[in-house]
Amino acid sequence: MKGTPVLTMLLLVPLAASVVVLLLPASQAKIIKWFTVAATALALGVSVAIATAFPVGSAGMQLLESVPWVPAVGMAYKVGVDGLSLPLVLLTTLLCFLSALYTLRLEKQVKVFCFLLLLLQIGMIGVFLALDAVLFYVFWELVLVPMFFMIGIWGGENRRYASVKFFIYTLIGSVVMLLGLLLLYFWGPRTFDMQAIIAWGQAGKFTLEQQYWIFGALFLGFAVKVPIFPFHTWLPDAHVEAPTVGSVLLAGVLLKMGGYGLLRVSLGALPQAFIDFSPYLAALGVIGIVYGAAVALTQKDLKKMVAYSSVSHMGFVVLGIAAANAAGVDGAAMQMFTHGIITGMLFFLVGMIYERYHTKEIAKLRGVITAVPALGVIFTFACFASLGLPGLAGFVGEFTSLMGGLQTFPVTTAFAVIGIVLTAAYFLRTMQSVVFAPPEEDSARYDGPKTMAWTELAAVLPLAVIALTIGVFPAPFFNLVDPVAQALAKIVGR
Amino acid sequence: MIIAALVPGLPAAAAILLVIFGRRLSEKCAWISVAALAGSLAAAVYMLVAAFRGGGEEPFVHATFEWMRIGGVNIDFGLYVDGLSAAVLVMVAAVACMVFVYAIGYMHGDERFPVFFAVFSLFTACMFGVVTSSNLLQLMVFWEVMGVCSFLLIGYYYERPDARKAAFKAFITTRIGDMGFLLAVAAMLGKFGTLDIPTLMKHIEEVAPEMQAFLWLMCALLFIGAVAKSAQFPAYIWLPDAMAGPTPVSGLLHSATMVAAGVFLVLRTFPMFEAAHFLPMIAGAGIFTAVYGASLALTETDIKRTLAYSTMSQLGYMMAALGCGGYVAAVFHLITHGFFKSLLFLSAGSVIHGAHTQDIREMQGVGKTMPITAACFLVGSLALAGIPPLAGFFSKDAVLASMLGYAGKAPVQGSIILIVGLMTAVLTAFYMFRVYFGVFTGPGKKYHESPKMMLVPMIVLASITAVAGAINLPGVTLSLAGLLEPGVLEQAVPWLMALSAGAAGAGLYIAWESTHLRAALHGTGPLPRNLQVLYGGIFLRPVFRVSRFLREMHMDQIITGIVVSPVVWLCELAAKLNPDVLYTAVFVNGVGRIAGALAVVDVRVVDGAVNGIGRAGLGIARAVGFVDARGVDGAVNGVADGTIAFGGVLKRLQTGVTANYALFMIVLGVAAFYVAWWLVR
Repeated sequence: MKGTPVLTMLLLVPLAASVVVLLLPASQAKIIKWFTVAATALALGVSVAIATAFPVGSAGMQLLESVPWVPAVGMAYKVGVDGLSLPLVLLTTLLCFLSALYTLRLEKQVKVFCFLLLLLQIGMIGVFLALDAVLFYVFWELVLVPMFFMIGIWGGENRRYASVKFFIYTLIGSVVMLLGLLLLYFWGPRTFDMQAIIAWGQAGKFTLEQQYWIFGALFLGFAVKVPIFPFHTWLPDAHVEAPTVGSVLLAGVLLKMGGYGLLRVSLGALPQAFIDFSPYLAALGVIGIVYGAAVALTQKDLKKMVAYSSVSHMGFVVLGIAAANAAGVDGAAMQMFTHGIITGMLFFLVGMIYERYHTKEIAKLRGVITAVPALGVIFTFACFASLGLPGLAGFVGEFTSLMGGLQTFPVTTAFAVIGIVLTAAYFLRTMQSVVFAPPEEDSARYDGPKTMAWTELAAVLPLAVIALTIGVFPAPFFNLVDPVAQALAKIVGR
Repeated sequence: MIIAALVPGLPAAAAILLVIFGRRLSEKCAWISVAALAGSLAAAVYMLVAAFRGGGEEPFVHATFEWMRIGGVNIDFGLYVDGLSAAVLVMVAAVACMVFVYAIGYMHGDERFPVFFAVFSLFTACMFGVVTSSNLLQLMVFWEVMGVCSFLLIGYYYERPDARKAAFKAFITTRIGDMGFLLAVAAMLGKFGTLDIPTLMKHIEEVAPEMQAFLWLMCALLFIGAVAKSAQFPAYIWLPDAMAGPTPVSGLLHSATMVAAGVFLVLRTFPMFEAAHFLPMIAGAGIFTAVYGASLALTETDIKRTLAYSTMSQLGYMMAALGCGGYVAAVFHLITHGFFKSLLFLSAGSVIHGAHTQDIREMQGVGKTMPITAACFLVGSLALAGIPPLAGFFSKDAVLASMLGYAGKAPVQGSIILIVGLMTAVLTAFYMFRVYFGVFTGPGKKYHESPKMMLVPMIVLASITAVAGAINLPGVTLSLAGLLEPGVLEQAVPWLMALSAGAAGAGLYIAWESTHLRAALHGTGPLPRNLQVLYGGIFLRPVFRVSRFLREMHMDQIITGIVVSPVVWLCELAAKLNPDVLYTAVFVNGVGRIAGALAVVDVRVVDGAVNGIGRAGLGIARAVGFVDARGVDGAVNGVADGTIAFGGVLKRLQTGVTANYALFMIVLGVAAFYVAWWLVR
């Protein structure tokens, strides 16, 4: 595979597919849907091929491709992949494929939706592959547009408010982030090559004051994305209004862009600022864990509850990053991946429940286990996976982040366990009433078939299998990430 | 090693088979589980024999495989079987076998029969997993999955709100304790770089003098986990409610497994507790739970809940023994208790099966028509009370002997613990025989004896209970003590044995005297005059009064209240403290206006640019739609106010939305560029 521009291929597959989708007549909805499935399957295949050929155990960038773009200002098309970005690329292609499968159920404005899905995929993969600051920013912004339309067109009743809020929030965040990227250029090596910038930063060539400025600017952009408390308020609104596939990709992939940015750019290029700020970052992470869980406990809307659980779970990512030792980074990377898998699964399931009962109100949902047994069982499984049951994937990330956090910030980290208990409480409460409790008089009714459609099973079963596999045997994942984690920890001397 | 793997492996495989073939086989499927457990039992016995042959010095099995590597630290999974695990495994497997056979009879006709046996098998497999784990993290995995299974089993009758509530309570209470366990494991992994139990214990014994404070904290955290799992005060609150589950579940959960796991954790990591000088804490917590549980059992009217409180009390006994350094005594009592308590639960289930009630006030003279059940319950009660020569007598005596030993080292604390321990022994005999005499003796209605499928396991357990004391006869080499602490011979203390038997006898006698008097049985109403003269004034009345006072205090509700109310309150507060409110305050009057002003400027600046970009794509109508003031008006959000202003710009620009978006980015990008330029300058 050496020499083949596989990463560019990975970007070109959805790009070409999106053009084809645009050219296909909108009346051919079925063809468009199946074509999208095929395209995302191809992208998944390419990414799996990259993963199998990946030299496990290396910390450096692999499969580098670089084409000058605007050489005068040091701009280039430069992409590469390492142990940190590869799992996120895999996550993206997998969730996009499953989303495309689930989209087979869609009937409203299929063509535009499939186009946006493919466009979104380009942006998401691009962010994780880009090694040029401008390219990174372009992909970063590219992600916003399709998501904005997904929420705005296919969303719920309050979709306009939610989409505008999402738009404004992330736009402000990303513009400030752009400011940070530009400062990296001007104060740095006068090139947008991220590897060069990171090398410059690690050589200690940014002054402390410069580091603080850049860190602050980048932080705002990343923090909105993760989201880190208190920049999370767009997330629940966006999720509640977003269509199922939008929620899956939003929680599954978009949030990880923030964590990835913090690790790749902030930690990589600004070690001193990172060290100085890390206690606060850890505190924000723990606040997010506890606060997200506490608010989730009071939610009456099923989807909003899952959205707040995302805030809580992403807190472990922040905590792991702040710890910045090998275990912490391992944990953050693992948590990003497993949160994508598990929360993606949960959002699919919530969508399936909504389709049947036409409500997301927890108080009205009862007895799923008797109405649709398979759905009840998988939902129960997903809840246990999400509440961090040992033996399932969610636990591995939480445990490793905690382990890292305890080494660097023992006292702050210890408070995180409050969030874990609350998480168990809201998931059990919801599971018991939605899945197990028998229907009451004012409960929503569903008298349809007791089985799940094959598209539904195809969307969630792979995720369930992965959640179990990683939970039992996480070694392959850690083997991939650990070298990068150790290298990153070395930068800040932890 | 393969044999050791079979112990948890067989029931786990049975669980999978049941999920796949359960529906097709209907009720026959349960025999898969029973066969698997019989296999586990055989493997466990084989290992116990081997462990005896090895003299208990070396672990019989210690095999590990690389599981994962985090930050250069290896975590292995594997099997570790020594004398302790072999002995506990045999007990768990034997009890589980019997309970499963019993369950076939008890659950007959249940509509979710295969599901029940699948979860029950997985549950048992997890208990075996806990006992055979070589690694603390691995132990925790089994520990927690066992918790989930118990959640599903306690809430098995999920149509009933009380069952759902009990399952929730059990899981959350143990989960709170697990946080201590989790923190301890994560912190120790970071600090010592290993979680392999024997390696870790050896390492800790070496470094103990330098890091007392850290170790003490780790012990405290681990102990919190054990307290919650073993239903010690104040985490016992989940145990009585957990009786909402089917009786076979209670019979296994609250005798040989689950609650035993907490004690087992402390046993497994005992060297650490010793090195950190944490044992007195355990002794105090244990003995308090022992007497507290016994007091609560004294006036309880639900037969299963009485047994639940008794379990809590006996587990406290084991903890107290451990705290006094009585390692062998704790294991011994853990094993005998597993047998006689499961026997008691199964017998109680048999009574409930026949009498269709759990209230002991509504059961009378059951013994006449259910003689076998009555006999089994009697054996269990005698054993629990500690009447020689049943198993409970020997193990309880060993526990008391360890307390006596502790009294030799720390006279004040040790004597208090010993005296409270003896008092608890009296109370235990009292509450147990209060139930026995009340339910089984005297005239009564006609009941139906339970089917054979239920009676046979009870008879087997009763036989074991009768003779299990023999596994640790004092002064014998081929005994539990010889297995666990080779070279140290247990010495009998005759006067203590007499005292303990006397305490049990006294309790039994009081129960006998007070039983004709239903009032005392119920814990309500005054005692008759002659009794009052005898001991009412000195002993009985205050005891009842205390018991009733404790029960009426509803400590469990107080504890739940202390924990739950503030949490709920804080959660609601957190939900109200939405940062959006703050943002609104800041942005409505600030940024909103600025944005509006900027918008006016922007119109002029960007107009030309837009024309250059061209009128691509969709019409303005849709673009305006998204940022329509009406869509936002419900929310008094300042950020959105800014948007409306921007929306106004869009409205006037009359171009495609994509172009507008590009424009936004360009404008803001240029702005960012200028700011950067200004900063760099």
